[in-house]
Amino acid sequence: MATWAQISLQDAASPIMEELIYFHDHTLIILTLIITVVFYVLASLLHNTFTNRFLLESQQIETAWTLIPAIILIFIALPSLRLLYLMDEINDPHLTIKATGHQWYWSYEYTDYESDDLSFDAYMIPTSDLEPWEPRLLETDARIIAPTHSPIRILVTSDDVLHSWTIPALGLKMDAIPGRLNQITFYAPRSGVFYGQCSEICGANHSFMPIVLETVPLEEFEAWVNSYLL
Amino acid sequence: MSIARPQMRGLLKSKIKRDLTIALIAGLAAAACVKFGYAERKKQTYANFYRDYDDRKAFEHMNSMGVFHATRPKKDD
Repeated sequence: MATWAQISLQDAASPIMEELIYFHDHTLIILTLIITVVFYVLASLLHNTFTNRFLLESQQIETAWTLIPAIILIFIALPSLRLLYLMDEINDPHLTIKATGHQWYWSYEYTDYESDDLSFDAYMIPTSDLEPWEPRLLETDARIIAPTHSPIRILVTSDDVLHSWTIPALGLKMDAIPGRLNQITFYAPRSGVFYGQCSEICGANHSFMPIVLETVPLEEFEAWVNSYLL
Repeated sequence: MSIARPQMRGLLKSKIKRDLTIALIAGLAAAACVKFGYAERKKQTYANFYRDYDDRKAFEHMNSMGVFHATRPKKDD
């Protein structure tokens, strides 16, 4: 989760999020180059005492400041497209979880197990009911549990209006659209608890329907599943 | 005694050429600082973290502090 006053991306908890962070840093490098050049040119303009009444047009400089931005954009677009297609790769998930957005909570179903028992709703814990260590507006009364080192598929939909299921630390964001099933997959290489918040305006309590995902080793995940089914 | 003839014309043009060169070098230097001082260091930090990472050990440590709900006894409704 983000710490207070954090404006940067959260630390990655999945390989895809790591790649997103590296792409962000790559774009930041290019932006630094452009901004430094522009600021230096601006400063030199302010200190200029020379004039040339006949310096009105130049085909060379027009060509240069058209081609150079186009080349810079290619340097940004190629890694971007590579990452976009990487995120869409089919990876044979071991588990499918359905996430349904409602006003104003999420419900989850684990239908791989042929039982209706493994489904639950997740409501935000009100601030007045929080334990001292629980984060405000982020903690829920039920968490999605998923195994580590396994590709997981989340099918996202909505029961009423648009919502969006998000977990920034895993690089996950998918719109929940009524009448449509959207698919997103992830792989968690480590155990942990990861928080997210609804990311599509959906009414009065849009800010109060968070998501909590807990990744645990496979043995503990199976024990948790059995506690529901048996 | 005579001094070298100073540049009489094209002062703005030569200033622009010099300034564009310096701007490009400064931009590349700033980009290199961000790349090697920030971006590559971050990649190395991630590589170092996962090189010797033991997920079972980390899980046991976090679980001993009660972080996970999955391992708590299930409350009967």
